[in-house]
Amino acid sequence: MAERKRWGMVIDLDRCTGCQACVVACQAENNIPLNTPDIVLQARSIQWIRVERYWSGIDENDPAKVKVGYLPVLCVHCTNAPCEPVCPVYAAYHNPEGLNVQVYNRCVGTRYCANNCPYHARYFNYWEREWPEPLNFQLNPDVTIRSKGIMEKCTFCVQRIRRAERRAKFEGRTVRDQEFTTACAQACPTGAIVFGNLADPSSLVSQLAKDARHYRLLEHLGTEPGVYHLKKVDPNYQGAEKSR
Amino acid sequence: MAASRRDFLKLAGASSAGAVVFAGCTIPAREMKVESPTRIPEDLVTGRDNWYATAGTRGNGVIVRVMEGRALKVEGNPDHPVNQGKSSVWDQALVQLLYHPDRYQRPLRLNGPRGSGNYAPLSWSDAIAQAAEAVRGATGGRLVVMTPPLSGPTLVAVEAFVRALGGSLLTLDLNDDAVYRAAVQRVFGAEALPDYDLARANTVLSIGADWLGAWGNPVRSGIGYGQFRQGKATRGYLIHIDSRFSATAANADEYVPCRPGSEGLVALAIAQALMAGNFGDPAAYPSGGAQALAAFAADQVAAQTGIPAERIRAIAQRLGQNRPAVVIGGGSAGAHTNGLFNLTQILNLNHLLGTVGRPGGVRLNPAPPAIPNFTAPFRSGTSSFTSWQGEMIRLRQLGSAAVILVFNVNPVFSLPPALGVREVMLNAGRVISFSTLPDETSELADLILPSHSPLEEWGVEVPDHGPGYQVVTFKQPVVNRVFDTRQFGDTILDVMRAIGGEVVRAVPFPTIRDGARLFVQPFFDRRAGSVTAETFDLFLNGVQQRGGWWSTAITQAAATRPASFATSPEPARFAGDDSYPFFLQPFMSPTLGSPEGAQLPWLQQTPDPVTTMAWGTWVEINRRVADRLGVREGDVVVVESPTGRIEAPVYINYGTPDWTVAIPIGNGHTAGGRWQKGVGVNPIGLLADLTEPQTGALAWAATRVRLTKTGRRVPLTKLEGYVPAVQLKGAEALKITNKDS
Repeated sequence: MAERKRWGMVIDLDRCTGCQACVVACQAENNIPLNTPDIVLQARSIQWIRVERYWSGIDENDPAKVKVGYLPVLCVHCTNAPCEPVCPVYAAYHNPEGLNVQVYNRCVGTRYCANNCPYHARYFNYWEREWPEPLNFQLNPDVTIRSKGIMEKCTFCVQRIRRAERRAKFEGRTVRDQEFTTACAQACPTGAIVFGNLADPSSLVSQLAKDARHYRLLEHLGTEPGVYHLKKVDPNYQGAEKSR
Repeated sequence: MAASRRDFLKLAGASSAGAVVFAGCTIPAREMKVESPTRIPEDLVTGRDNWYATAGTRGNGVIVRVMEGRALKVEGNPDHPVNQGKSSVWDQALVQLLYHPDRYQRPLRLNGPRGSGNYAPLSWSDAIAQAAEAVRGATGGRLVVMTPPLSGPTLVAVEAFVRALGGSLLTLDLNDDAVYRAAVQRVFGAEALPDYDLARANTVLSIGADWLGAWGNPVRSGIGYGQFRQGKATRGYLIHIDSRFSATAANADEYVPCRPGSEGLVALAIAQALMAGNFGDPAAYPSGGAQALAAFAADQVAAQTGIPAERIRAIAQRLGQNRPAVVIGGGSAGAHTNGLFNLTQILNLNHLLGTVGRPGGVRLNPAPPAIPNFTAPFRSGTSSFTSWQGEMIRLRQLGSAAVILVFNVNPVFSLPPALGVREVMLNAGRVISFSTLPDETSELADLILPSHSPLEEWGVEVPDHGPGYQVVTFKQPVVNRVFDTRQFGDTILDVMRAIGGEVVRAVPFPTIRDGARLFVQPFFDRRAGSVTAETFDLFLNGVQQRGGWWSTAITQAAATRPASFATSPEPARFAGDDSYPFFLQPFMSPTLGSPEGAQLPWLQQTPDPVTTMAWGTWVEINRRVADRLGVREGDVVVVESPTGRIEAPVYINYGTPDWTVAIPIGNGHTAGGRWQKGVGVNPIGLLADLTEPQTGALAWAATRVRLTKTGRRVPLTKLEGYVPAVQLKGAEALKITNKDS
């Protein structure tokens, strides 16, 4: 009997230092195009996972009061994904393992999905991207190169999931917890990112997702994200401040 | 020439082990694009991959995924004790260095005036012959070799070469904290740098060292940090004291700005408060106890340090009551004319807190192993700034009699221009470069004998930031060479053979690969440690598979001793008078990691953790200072010091103290690859040549600057939007709690 799967992730904001190892690891794994200065200036950088940095406690008379919080944001693979119903060509679809999949060959580039994504986790290819030779030798053969005019986003390293599933099938067993992980989680020095099967109550992610600090990004929207964040801890925290 | 698919397959089949030989042929673009026209990407099925272990950056061990002879992805080596499977942005980017399109692809000879950039290719045999010809007569101190710190067989070869010709070896590494190294020697009596057991500490105080940014090995620190925060019963508490709001300050529970150069006084005041409150370990109290340090009581030094007295007392109380507590000092705290004084006082606190050699404290590392039959040390140190100064004066006198060899260091960019490295190079008799990529120094070479990138090299290294026991990392090529390059050490050995005579007898082994074998022989003979085997060949296989050899049995015991605090203050000196109101805090960019990192697009495009800036250089000041100057974010200002002047846009960093101007180092190159040249400005020209007298290290935080408005604005290449990223009340994306679960 095939085991039920709901791939998911837990990100502990109290461990995250904002070091960007996950960002570069993802770019290396998933053939993400180079974000040259002109692209960064147009705010059209592609980062399937990005680390947002938030200021708090700003006091112009006392720099010592300033606090910084880091929030890694990626596609959270919603159960009720706002990007899916708006796609006219069914390029964004939900697979049986809980992944929100982007089918590159169906995409016609309407960008409706990006408009509807509350997490800003979908990226459009405005240009045909090039890797000057021999930089292209580094490209991962497991991952399609996306062409101009289509949407892309975090896939939860689907190629790694498939590889692990094939190996397990070949060996006549089910996939073991933590026998593989995503590129971002593998690189993360502090262990802030953990990936696994949320449908398996004994898995590490299921355990961590029950932590008292857990919450999900913008969960009041009812999207049912598959990524749980664990609140940052600040012993001196006095509650949220007024918007500036 | 374009190869057909059939030619390509024939070539791949004929080369060793089916690996692809890329030199001189190109593969059609369609071969490199994996498309799945009818199936969705999740159904892709690919071939087998191999993983090869080798050395990464900053002492990490890495494994590299290789398919069809191509290196695809770097991961941390899960077996390696230093980084335990984790990796940094710099490790990840090693593949971009390997496949950088602007690498020197073959030996080149200058064809025109020096610095013109006109080069003609030549064969390796001609290049070796010409290099040998240039070097042969350069005896009697006329030869200077400039390299990064070397280790293992490469160091043995280069040392033998330099010694045989009576030359000198100059090493350069902007990340080598020489003052910290000296303070460790002084306070802990250890030759190797210590490891901090963050995972088991309850309180961490760091002063000046940006250990979550670019100082030391942030991967190793990060592993400990994760455990320190959420891997044990009580959550650890981090206090960071600094004259700049760094990546470490951004992650601290308490950030305490201090005046630059006063870090030693801060430590003394904390020591005084610890002893006065009986929080410390009485066995480690220096004679006289708190009374001996009465002159440094918090109230006495508050004005000089910029830290209120009650804050210092509160820090001391927390350190004393919430143990194990560990204190880290380095970076900007040691980058003053009184740097060694500062770091000595800071590290001494560990004795007072009784954490040296104890869980949750300071773990000493053993010295690198001695290798029989070799006189060279396992790892070279870094030449001090004063020895660079001395050598430049000597070379200027030698003029055209000097022969300069340079390998993968860029002193023209990385050292203050007042040193005159560029002029020395322009006037030297011969300049020969062995560098992998073009840069400001290499472009002055008459002859270029390009080297492999790290993923194509053999070698043996000892990590600078070990785990508390002996670790030796084995370096091996993970793919066949991409271009017609050779390993630096092998080229040096070839040049020695071409010179012949007396020099040849100094060659201890024919190739660096053979040297690497010799270097691990002693560990085989031990028949203990992480790899043991019946025969040496099996042992070597094991070492190559595991990425090295380590033994938890080889440690360095810590001698507990009383702390020896200074009894009189040693104030810092600064270049620039009151007409320069700000203190310049240059810092190594946490994303580039070194000036060489600017060559790699993954590092350039990665947002800086604190500012989210990418692709450039910026000037960090706080909002109050900006308002006083009448500038906004993105406004270009002139930063002027007694020795230099640059222009760069302002970034408002809310945590920057009023007295600080912080600028990242790494960009501002005028030469090099396509992703480096013309990006940002180089702040190193602002630095005065003040030094820390006992170590001869450049006091890079000892320069004062002034800022002037230019009236120009530029858009900033950053991840955040046009307004400061502050969360909206009631709709926080990042949630915070004050309860430790």
